[in-house]
Amino acid sequence: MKDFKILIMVLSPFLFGFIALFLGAYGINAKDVIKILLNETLHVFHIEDTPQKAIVLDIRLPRIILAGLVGAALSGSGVTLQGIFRNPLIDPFILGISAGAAFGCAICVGFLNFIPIQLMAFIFSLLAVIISYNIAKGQGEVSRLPLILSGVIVSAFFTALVSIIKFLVDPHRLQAIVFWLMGSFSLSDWDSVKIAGVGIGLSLIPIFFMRWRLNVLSLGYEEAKALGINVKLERLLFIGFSTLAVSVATSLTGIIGWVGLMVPHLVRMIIGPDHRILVPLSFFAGGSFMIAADTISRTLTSFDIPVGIITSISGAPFFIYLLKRGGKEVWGR
Amino acid sequence: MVFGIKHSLLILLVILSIVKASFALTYTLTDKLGRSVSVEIPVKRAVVVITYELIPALRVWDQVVGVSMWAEKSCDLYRAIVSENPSLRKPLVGAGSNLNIEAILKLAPDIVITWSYDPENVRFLEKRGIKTIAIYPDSLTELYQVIRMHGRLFGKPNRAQELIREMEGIFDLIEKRVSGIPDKMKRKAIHIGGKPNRVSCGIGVTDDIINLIGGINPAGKIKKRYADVPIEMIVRWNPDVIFIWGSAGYDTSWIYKNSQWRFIDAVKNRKVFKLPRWSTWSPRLAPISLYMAEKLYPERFKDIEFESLTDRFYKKLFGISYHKVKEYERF
Amino acid sequence: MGKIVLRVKELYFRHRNNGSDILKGISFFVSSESITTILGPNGSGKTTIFKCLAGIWKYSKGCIEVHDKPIERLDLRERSRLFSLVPQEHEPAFPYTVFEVVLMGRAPFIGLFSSPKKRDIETANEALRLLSIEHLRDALYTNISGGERQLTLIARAIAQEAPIMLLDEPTSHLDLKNQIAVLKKIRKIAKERNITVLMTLHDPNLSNLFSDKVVVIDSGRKIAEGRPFDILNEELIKKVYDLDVRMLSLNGKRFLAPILDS
Repeated sequence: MKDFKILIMVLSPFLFGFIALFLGAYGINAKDVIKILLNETLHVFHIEDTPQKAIVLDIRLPRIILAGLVGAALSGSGVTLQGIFRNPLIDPFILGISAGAAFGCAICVGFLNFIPIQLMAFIFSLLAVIISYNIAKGQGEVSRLPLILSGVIVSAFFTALVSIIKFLVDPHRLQAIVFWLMGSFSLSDWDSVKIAGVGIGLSLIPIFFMRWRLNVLSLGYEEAKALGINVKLERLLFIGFSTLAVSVATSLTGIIGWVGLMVPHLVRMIIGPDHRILVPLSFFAGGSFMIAADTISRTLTSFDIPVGIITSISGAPFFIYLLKRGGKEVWGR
Repeated sequence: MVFGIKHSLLILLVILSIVKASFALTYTLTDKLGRSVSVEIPVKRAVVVITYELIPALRVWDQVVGVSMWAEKSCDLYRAIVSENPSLRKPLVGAGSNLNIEAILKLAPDIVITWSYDPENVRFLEKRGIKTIAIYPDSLTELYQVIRMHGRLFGKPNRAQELIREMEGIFDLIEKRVSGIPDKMKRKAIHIGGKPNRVSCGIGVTDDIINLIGGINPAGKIKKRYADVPIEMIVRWNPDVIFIWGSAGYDTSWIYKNSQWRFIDAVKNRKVFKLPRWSTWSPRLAPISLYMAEKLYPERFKDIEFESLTDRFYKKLFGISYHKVKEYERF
Repeated sequence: MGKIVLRVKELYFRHRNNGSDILKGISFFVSSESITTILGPNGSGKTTIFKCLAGIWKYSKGCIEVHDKPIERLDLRERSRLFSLVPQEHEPAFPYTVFEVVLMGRAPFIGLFSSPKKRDIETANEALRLLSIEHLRDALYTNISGGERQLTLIARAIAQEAPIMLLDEPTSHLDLKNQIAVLKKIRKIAKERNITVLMTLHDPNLSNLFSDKVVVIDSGRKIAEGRPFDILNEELIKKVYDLDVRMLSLNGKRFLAPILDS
């Protein structure tokens, strides 16, 4: 039964992704989609360069892949931080990433228009976490509570700065900041996919290999140390890689909430807390959830619904259901 | 009859005071937020947040005590006029989306004319006893109403009517040349805003103008002001012309370089245009419309000299030349 | 019982921000393959000694030698191959199975970028067998009893394959039956696996029953060291616990019974 669940989760992003290729506002019939795909992969069926081809291969496909990568990044980060902080209700933005990214975006749009938004968002989201970490380090060991508190402080600080910038900035440029903050995949293209592939891949792959360590780290500082673990270093590595993944994702698509908190939590409820399985499944589940949410957001009505709305609406009821069914097994307390 | 001089004087005084009272006119209106506002007109100390282009148009500089920062920051017309005549410059009351209440209070205005973007701001001002009117013209008709309302508020109803007449002059010019186009031959035009996939939809001044210039707005079916649409929707609509909002952070090269847009007729035929960076809630909507009409049906407007026509318009309405204002354009 | 495997010399410890010494020059030794109990009242410094031994805390002065070699220079991983620490049972963060918990004991042998291999899994299974808890393999650690949890933690320490096992108050949250069961188990595995056991207890009778040697601590100083038979007597208990007791003999074993005022 467990193996079956695992199989479903692993296959789901590919399944959803494949189905999503057939859906969209343009309305391409299934036969044509298949022809285009076969032509691209196996070079059968001569296909002209038509709008349909551009839509399937240049618009839908990169968008789907990007959604999968971003979903995996958010969920993978979430599960990592939940393990480190020994708290199943942590989301990947807790150390200040979203506020830092928002600030980077605001500074860029407001004053440094010539630098790409993505780069600024990325730099400042990393900076925010570095600052949070260093504030917490000032307390001695980097234990969980100081880290969360400094994350809150840094977030509040950067958010305040964003408000100030919004006030000073040309009203029309102001809109660009607001749009960017509301996460969306509408403008996904192959360039973003390449950046995401490298950035997110470079961060999730090490996390994948280190995943068993999260079991041991969840024992707490002293017990892990007694088992020979350099807790400080390993925590830093995990935080570093997950921050990198989320920063890349956020810089490309803005801030999308709920996925990083809910998906790992749900997967843990279904499959248990052993990170050897939990971590990779979180990647897959996050990817498929994001693909599904984005596909709904772009096909439900004639316009794009912000994907954050879909993620929060769909996640909550499922969450409540599992909660009711769970009990002690699920929470472990 | 004991009508002595004293009595006559008394009666005269009473009559005079009644007459005087009735000359202090009150104007009651309902604003965009549904609030009923009664104001003594003409107003003497107005704060104008968003419709500052009407200040030179109605020539009411001495009745205005404050404007929002946006007038200085993003309105080339206002900037040009106050730079040429520094005495006209008005104190600033904060950004249009974030008003500085203290600055407003300090000016002791008798009316604040703002937009309905942030109802909280409006209520806040109300609570502090400042009369506020919130506008948001969602059609050409509503825009005319707003201009007329400004005319009445400032005691210049005739001037307001004149502004509208001038605007209609340009609209008539356009309509004459496009009225003959049968529906099947009408060209599709979309107007994109802050993000390339944020389209102006069925509600709003932009939609009215696209229709006025003889175009079809494929996004007009969506009954909202704006919507983010998937790129493939734009491909499906296949507009003949794409207009980019004047204050967007990207320009035509972004569209042309993006391979996802390459099958759209507007892109294939290089018919993507960035509009001038002018407010559409102003008489300048008329020359903007002319610009758009020219781009949409160039063959029907070949003989029109846009710059000289606009220059005459500017001089008549704002008292300043088109080329002078252009010097103050900022990107 | 043979040569000395662990030697603690003049150990001092104080917290970084606090002025006073918690350990004031503790010295004792432990022979290989024996069971040694550190006995003392609350706050005497028993747990502090363990944390210093396991490398969790850094002691300020003194020296610790294993097999006559000082361990100051060893890194955490090397330390964890010498000492395994069994903490008091506690609520975990997540509901791992018993097997997953025991498997964590293999951490010193698994690299940062690796996962447990076949050998690690076998060793963990072995440990479960030794503690006779294989039937609990897939049970959730959060669902089992206190005694079973303690046995799980001991199995984890076994999986760590370290020659010296430190048990911090292994009986404190347990009922009498479980206390005896756990201590019996400890004695059994110490013998079968030739492990040197060092544990803290606060019940002198239990230390009497289950240890080869006792080190008595009070207020950070060693009061006595030796075989329970030799050193546990009424005067010592009075001195350390400020309690009147009477020594009784039963089946060749000594018991200390508290005397209450009538």
